[in-house]
Amino acid sequence: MNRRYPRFYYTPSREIVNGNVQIDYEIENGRITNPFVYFGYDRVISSADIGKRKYVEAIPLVSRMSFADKHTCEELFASSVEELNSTEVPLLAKHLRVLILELSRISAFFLNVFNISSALKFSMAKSWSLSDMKRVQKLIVEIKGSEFYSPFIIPGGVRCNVLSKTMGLVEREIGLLESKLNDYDSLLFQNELFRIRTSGVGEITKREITEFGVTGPSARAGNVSFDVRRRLPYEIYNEIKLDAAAYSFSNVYDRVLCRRNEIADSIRIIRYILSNIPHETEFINREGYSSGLLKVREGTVFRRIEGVNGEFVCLMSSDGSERPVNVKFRSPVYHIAGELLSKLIGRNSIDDIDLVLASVFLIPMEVNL
Amino acid sequence: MTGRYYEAGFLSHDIKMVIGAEADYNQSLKKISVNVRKESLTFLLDFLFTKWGFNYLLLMQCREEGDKYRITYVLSSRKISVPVIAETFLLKSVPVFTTVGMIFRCAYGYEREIYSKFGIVFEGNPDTVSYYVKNPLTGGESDE
Repeated sequence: MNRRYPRFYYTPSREIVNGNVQIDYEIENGRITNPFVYFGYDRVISSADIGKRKYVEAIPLVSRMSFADKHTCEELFASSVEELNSTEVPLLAKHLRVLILELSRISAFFLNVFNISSALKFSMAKSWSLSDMKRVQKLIVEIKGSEFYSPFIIPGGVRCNVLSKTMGLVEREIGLLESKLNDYDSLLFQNELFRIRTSGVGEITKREITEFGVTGPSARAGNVSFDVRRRLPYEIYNEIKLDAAAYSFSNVYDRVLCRRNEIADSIRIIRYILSNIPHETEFINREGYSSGLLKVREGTVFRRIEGVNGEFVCLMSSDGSERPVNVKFRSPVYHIAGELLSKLIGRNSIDDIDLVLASVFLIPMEVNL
Repeated sequence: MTGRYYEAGFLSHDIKMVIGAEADYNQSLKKISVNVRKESLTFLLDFLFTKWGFNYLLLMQCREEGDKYRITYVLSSRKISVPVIAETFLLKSVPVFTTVGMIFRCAYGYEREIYSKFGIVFEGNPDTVSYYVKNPLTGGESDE
């Protein structure tokens, strides 16, 4: 594409996009034309770094691939190794895995609310969401019994058991969050100003969703109701019935509303886990962990997990040795962050750039995993 | 479970009959793997897209294997729950291939990534052009 000059540069604040992004565009008759989106080098760990190491050495690295979707990456890696080795995971570990995955989904939701309220300059919602996100992260730390970025989901099960005292804390905190969601509704989601400002902005058509392979809340808000947890259930998701709400257009308002309704689902899932958690002490298949990681059976496995932004996938090949031949992770952000994002920016007003960027929940470190 | 088996069985049979490629359905790893010649790849992907609804290119990857490049395409369908992993080989001495961007729009991004890493030119993708075409000193046009 030929670029014309003068070109303008815009760098959104870190409160709106969770990483380094620069947008380069032209202006013609007050409209943005030919926008290009550049992502900074935020990536800490890539798939290639994982592929170079032994399976055991890769475990802590996987936890640092994404700060918002770290547990999804752990689950992908662990379940890929388990599937190749045909390792049985204890039932307690399955419950704890889903618990942590849903908690990190709630934490990411509050981060997204923080981004959107920053874009709209809604300062009260901004400070609420930030404090709630930190509260959920503290809960995750409490469950893990160690710092936030340490691995919890490992091949064979989980790293530690959860005390009944911690489970009580989870129950209490979830009850608080549930009541807080009603406050968020009246403050933000049912706020007329918010609705007027966000509906009709940053719309992704159904055709674009299919063409670019968009998944997750952005696709579900456009009435493409595909959820890996429902269609291809993993861990204990087959025991839980998830609702499929219908939305009309994938604009900013629908996307936010879709995420908000899914948080209600997540709370329901956590309540189910709290009431059905098995009374076992076995939280890891120790044999599967120790012998399985030393030598993973030959084969290729492809795993899909529903992450915060959609379908997170991993392709892993093994030749029977202690190192993988090939590992490739792909985040759902990849499909939004390319040509589609340029298109979205190009057809919206310059005032709405922040809102569009915040609503698709960009995580630049996940773009080139 | 049985439905999934029958669907995957029919799909493997279809791939074998139409493309002539061997499709292997692995029930435990829940995937269909196809090794296809590079000449038939576009036809296979188009066939899967139109007949079986494999509208989503989940992943495209390239890696080096001796004197060849192994290019992997992972496709997903909303109709059938088993993904298809199609693999093809390309000689390192002739790093030119055909784009699949006209079937899957998101393939352009993946191809651009492979081009920047391995220098494979995907014919039909405007972002992956040969050095000789791109370089203004050899008579080509520059980016600007």
